[in-house]
Amino acid sequence: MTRLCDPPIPVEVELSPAGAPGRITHGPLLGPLSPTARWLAETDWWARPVAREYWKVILSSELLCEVFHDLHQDQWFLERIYD
Amino acid sequence: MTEPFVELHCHSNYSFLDGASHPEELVEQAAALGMPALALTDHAGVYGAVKFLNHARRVGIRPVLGTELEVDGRHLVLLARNMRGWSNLTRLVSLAHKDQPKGEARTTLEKLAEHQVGLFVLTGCKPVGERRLRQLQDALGKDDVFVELQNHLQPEDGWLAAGQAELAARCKVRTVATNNVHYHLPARRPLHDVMTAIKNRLTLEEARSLLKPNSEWFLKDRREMQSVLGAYPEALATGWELAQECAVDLDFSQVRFPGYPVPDGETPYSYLYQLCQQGARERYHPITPPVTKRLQKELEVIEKTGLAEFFLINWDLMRFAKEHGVPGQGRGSAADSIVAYVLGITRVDPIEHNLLFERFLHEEMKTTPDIDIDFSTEHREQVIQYVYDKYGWERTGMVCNVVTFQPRMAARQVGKALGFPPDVVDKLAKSVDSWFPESLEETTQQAGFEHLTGSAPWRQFTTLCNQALNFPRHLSIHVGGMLVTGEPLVDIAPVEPATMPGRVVVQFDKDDVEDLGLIKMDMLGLRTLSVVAECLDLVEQRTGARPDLDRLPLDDPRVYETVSEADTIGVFQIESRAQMQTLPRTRPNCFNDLVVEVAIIRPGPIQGNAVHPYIRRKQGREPVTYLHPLLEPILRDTLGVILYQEQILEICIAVAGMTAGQADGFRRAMNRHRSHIEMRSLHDGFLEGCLQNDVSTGIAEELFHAIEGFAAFGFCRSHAAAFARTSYETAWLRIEHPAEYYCGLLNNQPMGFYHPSVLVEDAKRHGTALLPVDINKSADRCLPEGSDRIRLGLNYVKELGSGGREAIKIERAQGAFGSFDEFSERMRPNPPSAEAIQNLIMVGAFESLGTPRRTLLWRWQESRRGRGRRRGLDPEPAFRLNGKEPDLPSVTPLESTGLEYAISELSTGRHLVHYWRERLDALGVVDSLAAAQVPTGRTVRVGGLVIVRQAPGTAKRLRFFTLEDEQGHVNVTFYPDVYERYRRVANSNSILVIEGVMQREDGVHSVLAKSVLGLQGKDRTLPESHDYR
Repeated sequence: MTRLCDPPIPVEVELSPAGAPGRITHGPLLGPLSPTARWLAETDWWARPVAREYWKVILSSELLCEVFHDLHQDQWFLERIYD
Repeated sequence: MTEPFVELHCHSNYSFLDGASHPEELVEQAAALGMPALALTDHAGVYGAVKFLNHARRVGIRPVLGTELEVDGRHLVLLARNMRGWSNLTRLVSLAHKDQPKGEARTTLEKLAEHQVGLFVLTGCKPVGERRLRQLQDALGKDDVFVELQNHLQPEDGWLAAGQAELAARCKVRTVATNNVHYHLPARRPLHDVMTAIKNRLTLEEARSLLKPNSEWFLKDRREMQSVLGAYPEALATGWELAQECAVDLDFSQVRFPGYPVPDGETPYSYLYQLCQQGARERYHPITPPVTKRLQKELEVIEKTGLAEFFLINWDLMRFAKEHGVPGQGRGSAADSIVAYVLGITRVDPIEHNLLFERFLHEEMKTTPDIDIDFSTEHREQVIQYVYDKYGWERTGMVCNVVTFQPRMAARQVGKALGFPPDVVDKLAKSVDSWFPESLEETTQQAGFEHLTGSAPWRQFTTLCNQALNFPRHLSIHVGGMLVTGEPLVDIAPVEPATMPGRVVVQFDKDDVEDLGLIKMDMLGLRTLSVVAECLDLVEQRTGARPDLDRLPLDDPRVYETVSEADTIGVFQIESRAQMQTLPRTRPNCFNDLVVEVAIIRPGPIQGNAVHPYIRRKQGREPVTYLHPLLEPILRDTLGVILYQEQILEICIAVAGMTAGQADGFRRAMNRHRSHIEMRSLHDGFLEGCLQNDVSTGIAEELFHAIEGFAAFGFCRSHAAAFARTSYETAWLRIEHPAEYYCGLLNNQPMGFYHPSVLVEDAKRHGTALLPVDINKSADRCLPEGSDRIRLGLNYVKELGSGGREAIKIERAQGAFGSFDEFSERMRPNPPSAEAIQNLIMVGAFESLGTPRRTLLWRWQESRRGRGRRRGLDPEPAFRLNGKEPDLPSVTPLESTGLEYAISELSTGRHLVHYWRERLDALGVVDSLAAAQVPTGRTVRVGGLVIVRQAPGTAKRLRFFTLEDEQGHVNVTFYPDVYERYRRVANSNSILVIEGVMQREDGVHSVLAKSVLGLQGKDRTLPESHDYR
């Protein structure tokens, strides 16, 4: 099962030296992140442009989540939790 | 050292709506990224291959040619390793297009296996399954099959790539990293999305599921590919390794000639030699030493360049045309050649007109010279068919024409994709079409969307439209370019079925064919030749004698007099508004002057300021001087001004000491876009040559700059001479046989610069009466009645069509129609359409049979919709007249003229403006005849029907209108401020009154507009003006 956060929940993320998300420092869930996958979604450029860098991460070595970096707002969000 | 990354799966915009970069942009970007090679793999074709190859060579990267083809429903990328591989690839692509709907292509693994030699096969854009991969291995062998690893940062891409790599290892197949490139930069992604929407005829919103999810399909360098596929170093290195094994140069020099059958014991050259001697005896009486010398020289060059067969092929074509009564003549630089002249390919004597052979052909030439032949439009198909029959269907094909996005199409399709409302899209597109705006911003204003400028959607729209301009849209067939090859065509280039059954179109356009040095025959359709042929036929029918235009002396003073008076409506090449404004200034009084006229009144020379120096010198207002005595023999004919490309060659040879080949190379280089370095090298070479001939640095510099300014628009003298000859002949026919000539013009529309209504008024002013359509007297075409009257043909009755005309012709052969009833009765088996019958009635075609047209129309309509039908009886023939009509008023002359305009788009009677004369008089408007007498500087009111609206790119935002009235024409010039003020009224009215100041110079007058009044709005029944730029 996954839980979709709709709307996505803003979080603060600290980046690792490699530029990947390293830790959630502010938000409903906190802790270190281990990225497992990354993808890009860029769409709707003709209306309300969306540009997001998605990361599938393991939070605190136990919880699989999806976070994304909104490239227009420069803001991180938690979007999905696999439980 | 790390191996460079090379992209082997790359689409350009020649993937037709599935690529958003020109091949050249991809090549440039590859070079900028340090990529040593790049492949072009457009869908099911190699349409962009030659441009790609040329540009890659230019920037110094290795081109790899291939395609992405649907094989058993899945895409595979095929790369040609060598020329054998290329032939297999072109054969495969040709087979894939065969028997498929236009634009589609598919083949099978079985066919691919038959043609696999010399090809690398990549697994394509979608991940391959094990079963399929093993099938590919079994069919093609594992050494030439490669599994593509891609990662576009989609959620599943990482593990898909891992899975593909694992599969490849299991099957012992090598991997290759590719990015399935669709544009050179991420910034082109929106354009790619728009193209996808256009391709699927959807808006972007509707096409959402078909769009790529991000902008990662761009050309990436090693570092970027490493970041997504770094786990597969071998795959990243494979591209460069394969690219180094691919060597396809598209050199077809050994197979370019189809071979021409010559009599036993002859070689192509010896046969050509004989034909030339024979031709010279026919053309020249006597054969003078210069003729012999020139012929010998040209033949020697032809022998050295191995082009004898090429000349024989063209000679044979003209021979066929002549034998079958097809009017045809060579144009372009071929007219520089005496060989072409004596073989009957061209009609201009290069000795008499001092034409330079080297512009056409020289010993160092690597490409095949161009022989462009105009045939009468009506007969061209006959000649094309002959070429197919002669050289075989296997070796003959039509060159393709890539239809590209032009402003109107771009505005319409991009607007639609962006989801603009249909009425907005329509308004925008129509605005582009009607007035050829200089920019899309101007279109906004035109279409009344000023308020949108600056908004985000509008910025997207204009950016995307501008990016889309000149993008390939789809393939069509070139009007006259035929490729004839020595080897079967499918080994050289892929072919696709054309719309016409049995015809094939080659995936190369005319520039590609020329760049590859292949033999192309340009058979163009020229309606003027149809006009001339029809005119000569009609003269022969009336007088029993056919004028021999080949023997027509080119010195008839009447011709030069009318031309100098700009009395040239309907005369080939010198009838445009710009030409008519110049002719009274230059006053051509010999054939050479006419050649100059044809060459210089074009946008290039006007823009390059070459026109005015010549005119001033021709008028004696400026002395004829030469920068250096060496230039005098070269520029004497053009009064010291450089006007022709041939003159550049002569200058290079005589002044800068170049060989003919160097001079031609210099001319071509000057003609192209040049880098600063190239320009410097050309400049230094030219100056060095001049100095060796004792030409001072100052003069050499001046000369170089004169050539530089001219090179961009230089015209070929021989082409101008060939066209000027036709100008002369048409002017002569118009004077000598006006009725027949105007018939020719009216019967071969659309053509030329003017609407038929303008031609008809011109005929009337010159004493040729026009007679209205008559059901018993009109033929299916316009025909002369005597020497000074023309009977309008049934081809000027809208809706009648060729079927209706033919049916009437057949029935009338049984005897004239005595009444409308009789017409109806006799036409019953094959009746024209109701609209056609109504038009015949209303244009007065039955007037001579006694019943007034309004009465006739009433009766006829009653018979169709009247009581009988309403009762459900209607047993009578459809046209049977019944019932009594009320007393109907006769058609007034004004109504009659209006009906003729509506149905025939012209008036055989009075000019439309005649009926406005009273109103015009009341407004103080002078007619065109009186206007011609108004002194310069005086304010004047002129008025008439707008026949021309012009916004030339060469005249800084000036607009030129031509008004026509009963007496003739008046020219009007608008300055931008006045035009802006009156734009709407000036463009939306057919009849205008314009007040302005008369300007007169050298017999040319024009009214400088100050204010505009519209008298009659644009009406569908009135002829359209010729609006252009």
